Amino acid sequence: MEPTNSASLCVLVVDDQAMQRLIVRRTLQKLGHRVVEACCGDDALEVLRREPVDLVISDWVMEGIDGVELCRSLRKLGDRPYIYFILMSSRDTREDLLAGLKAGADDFLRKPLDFDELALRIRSGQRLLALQSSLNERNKMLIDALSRIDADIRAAADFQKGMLPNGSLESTRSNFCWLFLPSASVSGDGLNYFRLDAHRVGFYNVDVAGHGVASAMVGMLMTQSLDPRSSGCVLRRTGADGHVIITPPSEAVSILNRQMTSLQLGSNYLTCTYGLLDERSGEVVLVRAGHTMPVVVRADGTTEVLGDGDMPVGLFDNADYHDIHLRLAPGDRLCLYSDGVTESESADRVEYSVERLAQFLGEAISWPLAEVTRRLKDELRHWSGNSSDIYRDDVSMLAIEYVNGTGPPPAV
Amino acid sequence: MQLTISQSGNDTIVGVLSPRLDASVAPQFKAEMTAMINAGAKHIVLDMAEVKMIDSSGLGTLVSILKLLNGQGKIVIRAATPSVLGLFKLTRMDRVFTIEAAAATS
Repeated sequence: MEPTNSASLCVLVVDDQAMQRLIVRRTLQKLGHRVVEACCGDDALEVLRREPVDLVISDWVMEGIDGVELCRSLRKLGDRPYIYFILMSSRDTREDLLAGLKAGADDFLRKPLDFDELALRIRSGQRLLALQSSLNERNKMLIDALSRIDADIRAAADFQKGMLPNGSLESTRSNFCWLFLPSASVSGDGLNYFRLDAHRVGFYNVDVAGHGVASAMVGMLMTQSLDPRSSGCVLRRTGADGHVIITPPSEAVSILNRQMTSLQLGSNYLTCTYGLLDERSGEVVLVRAGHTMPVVVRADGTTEVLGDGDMPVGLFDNADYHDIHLRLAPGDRLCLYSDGVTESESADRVEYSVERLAQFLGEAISWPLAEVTRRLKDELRHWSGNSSDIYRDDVSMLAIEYVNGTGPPPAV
Repeated sequence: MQLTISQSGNDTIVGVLSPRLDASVAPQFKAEMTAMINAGAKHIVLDMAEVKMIDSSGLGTLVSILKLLNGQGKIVIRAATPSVLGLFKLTRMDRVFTIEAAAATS
């Protein structure tokens, strides 16, 4: 089907013979096109710089830069709309045609010129140019749409990353300290801790899998569900008698898992460890849902890696989650971290590993808690050989230290 | 990424010839596996001997392939490397995929 677009083109005619240019020009003008002329290849390149040329009809054999050379130079001009190039020649062997095509010519015209043929060749050039420009337009629309989506995803990721601990628990009974090193790409570690009642503190470390819109939605839902200030919070509820009931971690994670799987976000999911610390006794109840294995550091520097755990959140609606119980004695610590820590690679591609992390944390027991996360950052940088791309993945850690249960509960 | 496919009785044996099953190859992997399942594959054996690393996107993709079988088939993980095995255990995916015991290799 003929395109309706019959707009006139700007055609550059290149020929070293003035009479030949005149003949082509007359035909083109009769077809309604605007014509500019050049008498040699150099001249043509000059014209191309100042005129918005759509189509070139060039003689092949010319002094200096010939038609094939001109075509090659034109294709190197780069960032400008596509120019349709017709080579005009009495040469029509297979080798000639191949040389022309290789240089980037779109079509050929035999000399002496047949004017009907010229008109048809121009017409097919016009079709291709129209197609090209509508493609460019669509590409531009796609690029615009993509950058809008990208901006939205970034906004969602920023929202999630904005949910980092702020302020202190005002507690003399426990200390919390954290490290968060976001990677260059949009990905989704998160951590937080917060008071749920006078004696209990909730804490979590999550890693949202994947990238893109669905991952951003997973991150948003998680942030809402695990935020005590949010109305959608699943961590506690008010019972019939007005008392606050704190959801056991296994139940809280089960709820989150059902919410997430019911959204049908495909294979988008998150891993997390969510736990509760009772500041009176040092008792901890936690759930490990596909997340890295928490490390317990005893006050004497011995370490235990907690291997129990369940599936990630958001993959299977019937997944079971189990509470893991442990007790921190005064001076004991519990560390949650993302795989960005243990999978941090050295120059020869060896992963940092949970074994090295546990050893580091054991040796760090003599330092104040705040030093641990600070020095871990140096440790990882050192491990990676000070490489610039150490944070290919988000790096996050939440360290908890139980002081003792004798301090007064804070005013809530 | 490259896959080798062969049929052995009821088993469709797929060799995953890529050192990483990550976000960059996951979409193509999923497309090829989906085509296989649509063509009737039910018992799929994934030979992971070449795979040194699976990231979170890769794991998500494996689960979505398993879900495509709709409980009507199974996926066996064969010759998993230590790091791949570690990930399956860490995430308890060893409960939903059939992990074949490592064959003795020379």
